[in-house]
Amino acid sequence: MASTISTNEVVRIAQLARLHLTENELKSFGKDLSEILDYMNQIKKVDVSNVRPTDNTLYLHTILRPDEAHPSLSIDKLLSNAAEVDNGYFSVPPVLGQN
Amino acid sequence: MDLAFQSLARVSDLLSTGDITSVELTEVCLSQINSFESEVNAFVTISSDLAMQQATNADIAWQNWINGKSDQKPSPLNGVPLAIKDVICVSDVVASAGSMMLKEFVPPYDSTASERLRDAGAIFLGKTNTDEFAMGSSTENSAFGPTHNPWDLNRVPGGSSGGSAAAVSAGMSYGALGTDTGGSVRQPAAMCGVVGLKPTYGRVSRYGLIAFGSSLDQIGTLTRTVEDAALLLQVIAGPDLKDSTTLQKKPPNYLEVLSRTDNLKGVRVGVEHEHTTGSLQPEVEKSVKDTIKTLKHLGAEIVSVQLPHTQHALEAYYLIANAEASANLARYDGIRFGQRRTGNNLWETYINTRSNGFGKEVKRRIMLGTYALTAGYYEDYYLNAQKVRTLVQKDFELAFSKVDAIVGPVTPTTAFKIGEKIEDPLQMYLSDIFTLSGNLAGIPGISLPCGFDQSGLPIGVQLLGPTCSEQQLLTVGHIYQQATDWHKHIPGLEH
Repeated sequence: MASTISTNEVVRIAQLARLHLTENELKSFGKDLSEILDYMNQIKKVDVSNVRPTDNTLYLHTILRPDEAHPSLSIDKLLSNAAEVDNGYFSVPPVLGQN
Repeated sequence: MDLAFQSLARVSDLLSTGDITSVELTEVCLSQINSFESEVNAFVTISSDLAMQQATNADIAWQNWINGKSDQKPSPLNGVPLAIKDVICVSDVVASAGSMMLKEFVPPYDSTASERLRDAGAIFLGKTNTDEFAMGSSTENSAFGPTHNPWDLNRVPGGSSGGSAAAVSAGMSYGALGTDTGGSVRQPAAMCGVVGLKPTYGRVSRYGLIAFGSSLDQIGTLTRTVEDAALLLQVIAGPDLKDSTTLQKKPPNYLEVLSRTDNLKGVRVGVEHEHTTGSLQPEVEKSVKDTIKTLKHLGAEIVSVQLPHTQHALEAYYLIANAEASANLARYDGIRFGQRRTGNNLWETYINTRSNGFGKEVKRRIMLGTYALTAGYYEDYYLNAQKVRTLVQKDFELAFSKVDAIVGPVTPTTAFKIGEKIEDPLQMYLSDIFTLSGNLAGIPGISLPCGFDQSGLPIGVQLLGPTCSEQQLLTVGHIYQQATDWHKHIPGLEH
């Protein structure tokens, strides 16, 4: 029972993930995703009625610390890996004026 | 035995008595790297200058102790050369995560694990090769070429910590850090004939670990012996204020384990008789059966256990891991770090940067993860996966009420040929089938060398334990290694 993902869906997911796929990539990803999802569909066979979801194995509680300021990394270090820097700021292309 | 293949514990002893210097040890490793790295490709970056500098300082620390100038005995790791997987940050050394995206990224800070090793005086030989962003089971997804298995250079070392496993196996390093999200320490350990330990989730800080699946990731160790694993774990384990998912309680003394040389009387070992999907290579099955016989011979009681939901662990794992990965990799947008491919506007910059910087497998997983989280599919996929995760965890809890550890295979086959599975992602995912349930449940696991197949390729056996049972696993492993010598074999790399 193959669940084929349509090319439109692949394009939509790619957009959500901020990825551009070529024609070939669209075809091959569509095929891969369909095959993998087909296998993943087996998860629907498990009886999970009355089962609570686990999002972490640790049964975490919030870790608190005193509200005290401590030295952090210098601005120079924090900017050191940026592609473009301007006067102590990360420099980016225009945010407004896009589709 | 060649000094390059001595255990970490042994060379640590030699350092503490002044019989060898850290500079000499570091030179041994760098020489081994020089001889074989072009064939093995275990490293992305070799930090020889840093290593020699650290070695010089380590020698001063040992000398001061030996001469009585200092009454502070250095850590057993002081002066010992180690390798670090390239998804774990070491300050001022490139952390590429095996990706074009981070090819030039230089972390301005140490991960907690690296910092603890550095403070203990360990030597950093370099950063080892990995599948891109730790996504893979063969180290073929690296942007810097595959790593080759030292036992057969035409084969994969396993993955994603293939570089670390190969480096230790090839005598290039006395130990290494790796990471395990679905088996990425245990599986390459098995394929390279070394010991691979994945601690309990939260035992080792993830601060400074480039995130893949945050509820699954754990830093682990690759070493030649169980004793060595205990030595490394002791230094890196423990609570960390910078990672609020670390266990708050302090770890026990793992080194106590090493005084055990007796037998396994009173230890109950579980065996699951129904195998999950896919079949085992016959020699792997036989080696695991032989190991069970050995454990029984050593006094362990063998008990049958059931883990009915592990047959769905693979689906649950890949849905959860990829969903978490799609969120974690959203940060690679070219703005604050990583490569940037500028477009006409911000949107195009994101698209160009990401489409260009990520490899195929990473894109595939981001897409899968995104799909599993989208409106309309979230309940069917991600939420269901989280519920199956609860069931897998409960299976283990029930099993561990009857046994102290569960023994089984690590991986269905020995090392496969480079290129053999890369075109078939699902086949590749199936090679994690025995390891990933441990990550879902957050429990510790160790992979031990237990034999070889007819082609001379290493086979590993896995022990899983309840949360925080590393002492137990290390004890069983250590006693097993007193009674066997699989871990003493070394690959036949030739000059």
